[in-house]
Amino acid sequence: MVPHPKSRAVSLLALSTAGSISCMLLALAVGTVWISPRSLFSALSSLNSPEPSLEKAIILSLRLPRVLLAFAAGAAFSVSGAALQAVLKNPLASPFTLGVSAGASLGAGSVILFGLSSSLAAASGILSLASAPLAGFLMAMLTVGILLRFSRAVDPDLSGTTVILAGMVISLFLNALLTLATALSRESVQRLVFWQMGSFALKGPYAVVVVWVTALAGISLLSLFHRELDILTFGDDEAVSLGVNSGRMRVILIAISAVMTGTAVSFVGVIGFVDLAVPHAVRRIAGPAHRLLIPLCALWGGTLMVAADLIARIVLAPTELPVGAVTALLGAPFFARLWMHAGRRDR
Amino acid sequence: MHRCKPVASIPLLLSFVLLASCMAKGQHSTSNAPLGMTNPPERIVSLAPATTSIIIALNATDRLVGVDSWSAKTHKIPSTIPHFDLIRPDAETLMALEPDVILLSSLTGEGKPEKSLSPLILRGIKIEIFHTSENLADVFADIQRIADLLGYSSKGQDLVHRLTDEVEAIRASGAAIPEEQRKTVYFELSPAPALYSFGSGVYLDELLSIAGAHNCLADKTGWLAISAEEILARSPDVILTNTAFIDDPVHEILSRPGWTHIPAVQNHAVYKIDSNASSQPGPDVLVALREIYKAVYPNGPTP
Repeated sequence: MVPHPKSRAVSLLALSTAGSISCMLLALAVGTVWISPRSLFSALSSLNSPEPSLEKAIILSLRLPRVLLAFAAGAAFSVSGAALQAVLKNPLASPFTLGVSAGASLGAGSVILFGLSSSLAAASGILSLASAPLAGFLMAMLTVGILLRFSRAVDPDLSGTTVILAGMVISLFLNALLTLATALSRESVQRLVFWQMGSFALKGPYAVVVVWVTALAGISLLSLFHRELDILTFGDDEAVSLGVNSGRMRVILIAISAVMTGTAVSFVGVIGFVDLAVPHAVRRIAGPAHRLLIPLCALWGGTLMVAADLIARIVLAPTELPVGAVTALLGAPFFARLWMHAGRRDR
Repeated sequence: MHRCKPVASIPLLLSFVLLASCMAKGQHSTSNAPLGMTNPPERIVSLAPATTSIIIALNATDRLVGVDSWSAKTHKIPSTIPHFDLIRPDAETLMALEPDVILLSSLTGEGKPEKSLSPLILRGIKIEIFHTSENLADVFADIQRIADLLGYSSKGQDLVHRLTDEVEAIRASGAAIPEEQRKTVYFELSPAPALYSFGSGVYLDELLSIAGAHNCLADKTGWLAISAEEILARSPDVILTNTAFIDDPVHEILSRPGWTHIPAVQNHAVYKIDSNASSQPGPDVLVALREIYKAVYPNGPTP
């Protein structure tokens, strides 16, 4: 571990925070309806005026929740990715390889498919009571629970390969169940496809608060465990010599990541790329130490998601593009460039 | 450990500022509850093909200020009127249109449109949700509901009477077909390889029985994914299809391997039904009903 000069860490954090705030302000200012920077400023400076203008209503009740939700979800995804890559010692690990997305898709998908289907009137009585996000979250947690139990039974140390392989098998199993359910309820397929593509539009203040609170709690907890994350990256022998129970530590860290991602996915859908790519990009710039990596991943992941959402809603306005596609379209070339650039510098 | 605190608290601080502003807004807005509507709405957004066709049938097209893109396509609504995605309408443009009322189906939003569109409701825009009709009675009720909303109650009654009369005329003709001449019908919604049809309890099944035909899948209920063998075993006399996404669905059915033993295929009794008219339960289902009756009983009594 190369210790970072403190000033560099501080300036990186300050720059990233400034970048995040500017990106969020831009996302508040730009949309399908033109709003002048002056109106934006007046809307943000007088929040409680009695008769809100149309522009203020658009900014505060439509754009602000969406920007906040995108930021929190992006932060949660990329911090979870960073933590899991360390915990499982595998650069390909992400919350989605653990089956979080497959579980959430199946849970939310069953509500979407059968909650409205007239052919399953009996089941719909129960399912219509449950909301898609709640079912998605519960199913995601159940999936990770089963995954951890199974992995621990075959491999008490929870090595990365075991967990990732088990996660893939469970994901494939759950996806098969969802495919079956889809084939039997085709009139709702469109809604399911839309849910899976992911969106931050019109999710309501409740989603914003819940995703922010869990993301903040998760990110703060993982920040507190930055030393353990560093140790797990080096390997189990190192961990034992430093007095860390690697099996138990892994369960705790995986659980934190799963809760954080599961919540976000259940509300906004499966939006990939950020979870995998942002931690790698940040490591290239800030190094592997998690004390700096975790907060930077939160800022970068959130910012990338806000930018992707902004592009998704303005490129073909008023038609909205799927955010999940935009994150990869926008992120992959950037990621490749950064990778090449850093690779050259390393040599 | 305490040295990492400033780092962890940056997102914390940021979020409290932003959340606080968000909450403040939420608290304030509840006092802005929509008032009951006194005058008939002048600016209407229709985000469901069925409600759009009802508005057109009531001659109130001039009040439409926005429609979903599916309605726009089937009813040739000019692009001077904004088009919205039916499942995910662009909320900003919707709000900026300042409509009096938005008519939508349960497809819009995440299955809970009243919840997801709450920012619009707080602006005083009325939201009217029309659940997809399961039968003709629902269609007529929706027509009357929209007519009442537009201040066209008597116009709505006239339209419903006219449609009811037409339905009853076809029902009478269908009932006049002797039982031994009644035909069994397979109505296909999605072509090979993923056949899709319906049993009883669906408005299309109701149309079949009004026309005096037997749905060959009547012992099942709801929308059905069905196998080619099952249809072969039920040997329908007539096959109807409303598939819009292949060029010549009738030819495709006639040339399906193994189906040559089905009476409908042997007798070339395979017909295309207007897909727009039959895929959404609205006033246009009468068009579909007429086509069904004519296809099944070309020589039957004229309604």
